[in-house]
Amino acid sequence: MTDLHVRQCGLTVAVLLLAGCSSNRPALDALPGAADRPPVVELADTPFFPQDAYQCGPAALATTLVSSGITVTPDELTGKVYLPKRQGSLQLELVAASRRYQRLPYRLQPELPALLAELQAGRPVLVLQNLGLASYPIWHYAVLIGFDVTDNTLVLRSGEHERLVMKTGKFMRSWELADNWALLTLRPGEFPVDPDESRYLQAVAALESTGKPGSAIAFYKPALERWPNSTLAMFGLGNSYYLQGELQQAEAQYRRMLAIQPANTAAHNNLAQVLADRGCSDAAFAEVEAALAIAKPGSSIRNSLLEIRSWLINRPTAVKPGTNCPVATEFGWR
Amino acid sequence: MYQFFVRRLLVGVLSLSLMGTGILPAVSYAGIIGTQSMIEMEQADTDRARVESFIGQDNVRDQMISMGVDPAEVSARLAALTGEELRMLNQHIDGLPAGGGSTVLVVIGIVFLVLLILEFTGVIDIFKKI
Repeated sequence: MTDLHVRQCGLTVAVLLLAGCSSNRPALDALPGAADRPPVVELADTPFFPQDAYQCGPAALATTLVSSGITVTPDELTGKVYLPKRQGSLQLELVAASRRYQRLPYRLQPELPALLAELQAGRPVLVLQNLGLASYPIWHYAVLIGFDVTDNTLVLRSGEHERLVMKTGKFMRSWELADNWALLTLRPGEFPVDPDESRYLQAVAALESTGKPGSAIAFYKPALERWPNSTLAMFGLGNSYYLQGELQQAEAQYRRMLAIQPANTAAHNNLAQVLADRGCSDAAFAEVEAALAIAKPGSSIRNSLLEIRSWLINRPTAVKPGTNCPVATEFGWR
Repeated sequence: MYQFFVRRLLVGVLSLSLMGTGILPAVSYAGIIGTQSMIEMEQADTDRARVESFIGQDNVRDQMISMGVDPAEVSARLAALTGEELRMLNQHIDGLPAGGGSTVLVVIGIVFLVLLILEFTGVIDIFKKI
């Protein structure tokens, strides 16, 4: 290899290192939805927490949580999300910590227009970036707070920069290397611009299962108004009420769900449990039998049904058949 | 009836308090099928998944403490994770992206690397001693 070749090789490597960014990415004005987008959006009221060493996770999460009405500082979040040995915070733990503040961690569609739409709606977006290389990643959290179509730039609260202006292409490279991860922390009753019903409700279910049934109710109720036929929302709302001890509301939701899905064994199971709790043994039996007739052999639902049935049979102080058991509805007893 | 209530109440209180300590995976309660469980049932074998997250929780707890997390904080952190997330952590706590990077250091590092390569290949000559 001649000296010239070595030089050329060095130059090539250097250029590659400096700029993985020169590939062809559409500018902001060429992205879908450009016609409805104002030339400049900047959520200047978004708080800024300058990052201490390696603390971009707590700083970025505090930024979106405060924007969604929570009073919190990065210091308070450090103990909740930071992994000292990894010198950083995991996405999973940012998600989990949002739940501890009764906010819904919702992962956005992995496309830039979805992020821009949220900015337009006034919501800052937490993003993960890889500022290094695919093979040598340097993970970093920042909060997207604005864009400028004319300059083709994005504005971020990032690290120690209160207002970091980044070329769209450069941001896209770092964001794509981080699997286009973008997160909102939503208040009860708040929805993304273009929500994915299933993803939204699964996020609420996660909130419910991590011991926050009260706040899950606050999210399920508006979700049911938005998606009135969602059986998952009915089931989740019923379960959250049950965990709160509100049997009438729980029962009403299971019944509502069964009216749409009469063969849903999980709904029969839970309705039977509520009825058993109320002492309505005949009605509880009927639900158990209806579900056992269709439940898959060996399934955990079947096991649960059998458990309820055996309790109904062996109960020491039987509720007499024919006990007056009114049916619960959302609006009262019927 | 009374005994049944007491039993259910005990189970409920116990499981809630265990959830709080993070000993119990937060996927099952009293006699109802949990929402998360139903979603997982549609996706995978729940019983296996439940056992895995049950075992996983202890592993993750140990790993977190060995990674420098305050033991007093670990339980609350685990309690905020779903079974699915626990399984993910258990398997990949070392490999999942951990955002923390300080931008200034990164830029300095890359520029230095570039200069070094250019120096070694003779394109530039700024490090006189090497």
